Amino acid sequence: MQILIVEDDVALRRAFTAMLEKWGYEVVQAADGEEAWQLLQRQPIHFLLSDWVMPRLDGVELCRRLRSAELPHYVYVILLTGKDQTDDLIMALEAGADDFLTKPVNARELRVRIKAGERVLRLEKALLAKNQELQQANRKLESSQQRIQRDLQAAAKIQQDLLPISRQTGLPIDLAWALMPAEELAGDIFNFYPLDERHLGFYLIDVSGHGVPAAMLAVHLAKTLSVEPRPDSLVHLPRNRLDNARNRASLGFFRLGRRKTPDTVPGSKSFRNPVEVVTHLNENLQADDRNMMYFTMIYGIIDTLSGQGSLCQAGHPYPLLCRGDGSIEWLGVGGFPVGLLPNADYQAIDFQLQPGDRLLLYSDGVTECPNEENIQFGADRLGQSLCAMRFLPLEETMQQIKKALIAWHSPSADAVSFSDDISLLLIELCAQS
Amino acid sequence: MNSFLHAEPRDQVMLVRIESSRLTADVAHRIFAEVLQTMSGAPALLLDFRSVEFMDSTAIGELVLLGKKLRADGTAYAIAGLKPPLMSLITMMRLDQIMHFGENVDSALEWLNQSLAMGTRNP
Repeated sequence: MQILIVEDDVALRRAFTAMLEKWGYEVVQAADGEEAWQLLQRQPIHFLLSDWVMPRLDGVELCRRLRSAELPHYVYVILLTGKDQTDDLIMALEAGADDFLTKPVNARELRVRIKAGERVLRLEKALLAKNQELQQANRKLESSQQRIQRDLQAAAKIQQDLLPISRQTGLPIDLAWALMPAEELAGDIFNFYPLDERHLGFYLIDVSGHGVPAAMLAVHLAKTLSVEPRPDSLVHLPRNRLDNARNRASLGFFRLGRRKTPDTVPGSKSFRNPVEVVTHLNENLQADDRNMMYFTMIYGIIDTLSGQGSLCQAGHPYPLLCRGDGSIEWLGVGGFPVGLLPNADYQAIDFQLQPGDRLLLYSDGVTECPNEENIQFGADRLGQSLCAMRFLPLEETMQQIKKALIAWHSPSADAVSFSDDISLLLIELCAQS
Repeated sequence: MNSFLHAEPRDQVMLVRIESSRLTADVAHRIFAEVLQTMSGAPALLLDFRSVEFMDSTAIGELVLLGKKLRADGTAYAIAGLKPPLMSLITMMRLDQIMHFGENVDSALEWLNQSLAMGTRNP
């Protein structure tokens, strides 16, 4: 280790130098504080043994200058002086000295004090290394966090793109919707589409859990339930079944669905009925011990010409039907969630819409949305809100329901953060022109 | 015994009380795994849910999974004391068709003992 000895008395400086070199230290010499200060700025010296009273710059001032400078390493300072007063000791330590020795210096005492200083410097060096490691880890974490955030935002954009784009379906039906995710990504997803020139297909899904795994399953389901004519599209009947069905229809057969789940939507169809769709999903997506994920859903079809509809409720909250006269009906009698029980039987729920009737699908994040007193928004309040606004345009009704939920959850907060995903899909049958 | 469970044998039935008011994704898997550990060979399990105020969807899934494991082991089981809002959720998901839910511990115990006597297991 290098030690800088600062002493204006040449004889004493030489004596200290000889002693320190004998103990194995490399010695650098300075005749006063100013010269020492120049050396300290140029060389990485970690240990300073300095006299107190010196011309130009004394030991105490050298200490002060050293401590106020931002050197990249710590310098351990022992001040040497002929003074032996408590006040002087306090002044030296306040100036930034680490230790204090009175002259004449006892060699053995100096040696053990230098050893003590070396221990402090070793600790400081280890701390510095640890600190650098932590800073490096922190930089990596920040960078990783930024990357995750960017990925989440990109994934959220993809998810947004899977939501309905336009309320124009070419069918005599009006639609409004809302999604307010609890985190960047939602485990809720919904959509609607014309299945042919008169039928509307629609669904709303709530995947258990939150975050990336739930969102990935939601995206997978949105693709599976896509209406695009793809070989793996679940909503369409496979080509061979479609041909068979057409042949049977020409021979007077009518039903396309499984016998125990009669097809309730009339007309020639090229798409699966809701019970078939949900049953297929359940058979293909079973949760297991490692992957405890399942989902609840409503899948439905409406014949927009007759107003006749059918839906399948799979562990999902009961769809809410607000009639044109203001009465409320809850559709469904419950049903198994999808992915929990293989071979679960699902049931078709038939309903009839009149022009002006409104059908609302929603996730449990809506009815279970808590206020500040932890009281849930509740299904009754949702039904009352929907019916109270039945004369408003559909989109405005949806905006009012959103506002009511936000006000319920956090009336005073600037940024609303829901504890569960909120999704709503509102459907109204229009009068035929 | 951990702080989430209290287990006591009642003849052939292991009565396990869940002492956490919130069963959520964070804890449900661990709690139900510990429920299985408390069984120590008992032929039947009664889960007392009277202290549970809230279950999220993951916890419900974990409960179904626990039921599947018990069924596979040939262990009779029932659940007692579920609060009305949670029972509504169970009914909506039709889980009352695959598990027995008793109003209270006594009625569920009676059902379990009858099932054991008749050699039947679960719904």
